[in-house]
Amino acid sequence: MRDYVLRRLLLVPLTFVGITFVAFCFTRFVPGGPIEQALAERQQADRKRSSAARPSGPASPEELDNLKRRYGFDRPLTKAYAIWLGIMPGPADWTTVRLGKDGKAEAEVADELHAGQSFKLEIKLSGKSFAVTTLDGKPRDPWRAEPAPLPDDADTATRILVYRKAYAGLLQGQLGDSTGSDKPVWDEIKSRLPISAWFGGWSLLLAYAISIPLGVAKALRRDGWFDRISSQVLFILYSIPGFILAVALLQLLCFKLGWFPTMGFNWSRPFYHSFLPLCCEMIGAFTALTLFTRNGLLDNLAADYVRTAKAKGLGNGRIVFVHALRNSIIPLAATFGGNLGFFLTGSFLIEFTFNIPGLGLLGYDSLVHRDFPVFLGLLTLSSLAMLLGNIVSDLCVAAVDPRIRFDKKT
Amino acid sequence: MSVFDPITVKRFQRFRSNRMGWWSLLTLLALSGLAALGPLLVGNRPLVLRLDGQWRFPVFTGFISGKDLGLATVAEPNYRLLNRDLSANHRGWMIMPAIPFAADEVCEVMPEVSQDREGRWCDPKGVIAEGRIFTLNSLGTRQQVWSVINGTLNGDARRFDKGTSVARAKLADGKVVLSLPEKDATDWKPQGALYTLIPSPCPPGLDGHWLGTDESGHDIVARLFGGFRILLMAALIYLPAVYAVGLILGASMGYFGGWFDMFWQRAIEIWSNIPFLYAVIFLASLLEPSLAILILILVAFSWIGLAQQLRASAYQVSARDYVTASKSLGAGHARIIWRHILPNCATVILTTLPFSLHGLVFSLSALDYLGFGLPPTEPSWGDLLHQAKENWHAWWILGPTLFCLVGTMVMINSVGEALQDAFDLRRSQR
Repeated sequence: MRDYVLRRLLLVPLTFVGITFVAFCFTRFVPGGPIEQALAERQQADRKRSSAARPSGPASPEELDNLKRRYGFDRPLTKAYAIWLGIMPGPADWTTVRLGKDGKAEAEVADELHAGQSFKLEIKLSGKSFAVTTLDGKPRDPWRAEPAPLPDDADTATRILVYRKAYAGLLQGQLGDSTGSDKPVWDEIKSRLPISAWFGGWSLLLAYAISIPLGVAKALRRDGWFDRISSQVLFILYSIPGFILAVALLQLLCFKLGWFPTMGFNWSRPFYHSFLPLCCEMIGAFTALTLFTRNGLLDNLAADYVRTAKAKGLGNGRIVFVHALRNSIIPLAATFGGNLGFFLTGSFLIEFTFNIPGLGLLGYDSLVHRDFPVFLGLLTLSSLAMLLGNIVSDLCVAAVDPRIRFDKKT
Repeated sequence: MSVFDPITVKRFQRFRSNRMGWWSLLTLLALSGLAALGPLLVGNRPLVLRLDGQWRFPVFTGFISGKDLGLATVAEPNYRLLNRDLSANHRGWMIMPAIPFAADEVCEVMPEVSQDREGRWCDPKGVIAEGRIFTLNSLGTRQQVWSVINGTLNGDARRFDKGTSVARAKLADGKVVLSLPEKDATDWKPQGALYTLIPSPCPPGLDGHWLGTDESGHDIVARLFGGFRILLMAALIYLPAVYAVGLILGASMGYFGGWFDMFWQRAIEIWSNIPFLYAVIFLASLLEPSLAILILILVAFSWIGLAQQLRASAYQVSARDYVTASKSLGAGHARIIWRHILPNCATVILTTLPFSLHGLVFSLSALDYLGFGLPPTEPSWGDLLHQAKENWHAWWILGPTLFCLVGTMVMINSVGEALQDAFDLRRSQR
């Protein structure tokens, strides 16, 4: 078992790199990315201003170059990915300056040692390379300078890029900044996490807490009126996707009858706001789990070992709850890990319908607004959760069923 | 005696014995048959047009210019208005489809108005609170228009000639207080056949719209019908495509095993961890969404589950003795796959078919609901659901859409359950 888990854990990074690389490729080849958006915003701003005051038109090559550098589009794909992942150093706190006629330039950059402060660097051309020192001539280590020429540059002074070499990727726990709000991606995610965790946690808890007893009750009163009617209802509910139910409930109970709030989420009355979304998020998992439990229990009650247990005079309760139920929740345990991803990202169709500012809606917004750092950050979290969830599933199965041994070659 | 082998007959009988599944299948087939009729059943072109002693069949011949029918415009006539004219001046007759609206046709709902006892102008729903009443000319455009507030003529009134305003007047409480040009002899007393425009979405029962109109003025019945047709069309492309990919990959993975299997297993793991709806939204917002492209994207993401199921069953079969036997007799890969692996996969294919269909309906509706699906001129149930969310007072959009979506999905799933029963996949429960 230990070997199996270790082997699975070793595969996680590989698969994880595969997933994020595919997603990273997606974000690179998409039109309408952050650069095009920044340009469009600029054009709109120009149009609003009086056109006589400032000449409007396409952005200058300098601005374009700055934008490209800012969003990491100046590097080739693999290099950009390696920097995002944090296995290659990338330029941080960079700025561009023009070299004076005397071969010197000053650049004001953010101080990496004192947060929120800035200081000045002096760049001197010495031979073919640049020497970077503080104003009083002391060398400052991580800071570099390199020429950053522009095509068709009218300005004859050499343009140089001053930057600090630093690892700032996923491995260092940094997901970059959102291109929409300029806040760190992690902050954006952190602000949404409690709501998603609230919904994910409760829907998970309720789904299991209701479906298992219900499934047992249905199995014990097999083919009775309760079993038949509830099976029909569950079957219909199972066929309805949550978001369709969400629209129906929203219209009927919120708008028509006014029993529940129509939109959004508020921590002051969490259950009032989350009752309907929780119902809709649960419905798919809940119905499937109930039927799973019922059918699994029926299978097991018909098995030979139950007959043996009966024959040796065990009580009915002990047979059902200790012997049969334990075996019939094995398939449930296999699905448990999948919930981990759901716990994080939630159902964004339902968050979209009820306008709940959770992680699902954040992902949707980041896609619509092409906020790739946020999107990649969310994908990172959810795929990690899913990969770990798969392992958790296996562990759950092993925990409830000692017969299952994954390390045995079949 | 039957031409089928006894196992098939037994399975079919078992399938029929699940009443809900059997009737669902019959209903779905009947609905598909109706949908195949298409414009014969729902459309804005008449099946038969008898005009001035000439037979025409616009539903088959397509566009007919108004000039050819002796009208003033070159554009295609509005056959519903033409029908009114025809019966009035005995020029001929026509047979319209049962639902005389096309799915992509924007309709103006213009019921006739009447005056109640106190002389207030009313539409079929009651006194007009704020709106306009107007007369129409022979082309179906406005001739004379009055503003109505609280049932009385108040505010602007205009007379049009070929679409341009030629005279206007101001009224207060039904009386003319100002008219332009001053020497105009227009009578500003409303007379003749008067209509009013009901803003979209329009409630059911007016102007032949049995279920009303949606927010851009499309007939709901025509929209639902069109949406079902599109789903059918999507299914006809999607299912063969996804099963082809899933079958080829899954069966060969299970059959060949080894490195080939390893490689594709990892690829599947990566691919299946990319959130499906996000990726579809992503791609759908890149490419100009059309039905073919949407289906292509859906296929790219939904072959995975199938491939895994088929892989498992191919894996099981390839370990059987009879496969080893035929291998030792010198059978090649192609023969083994064709004779042994595929027939065993047939069960998996047949029993997963309804659930794939369910997934297709779900994905297409979800995409249209989010606004990343088909262009808005195309009818779709997801788009109607979105409109129902936006126009909460318009119960006539929500109700029928919900009914169709839920009904279809429940029926598809019932067929799936019945098939599983028939193939004895859930033997223990009976």
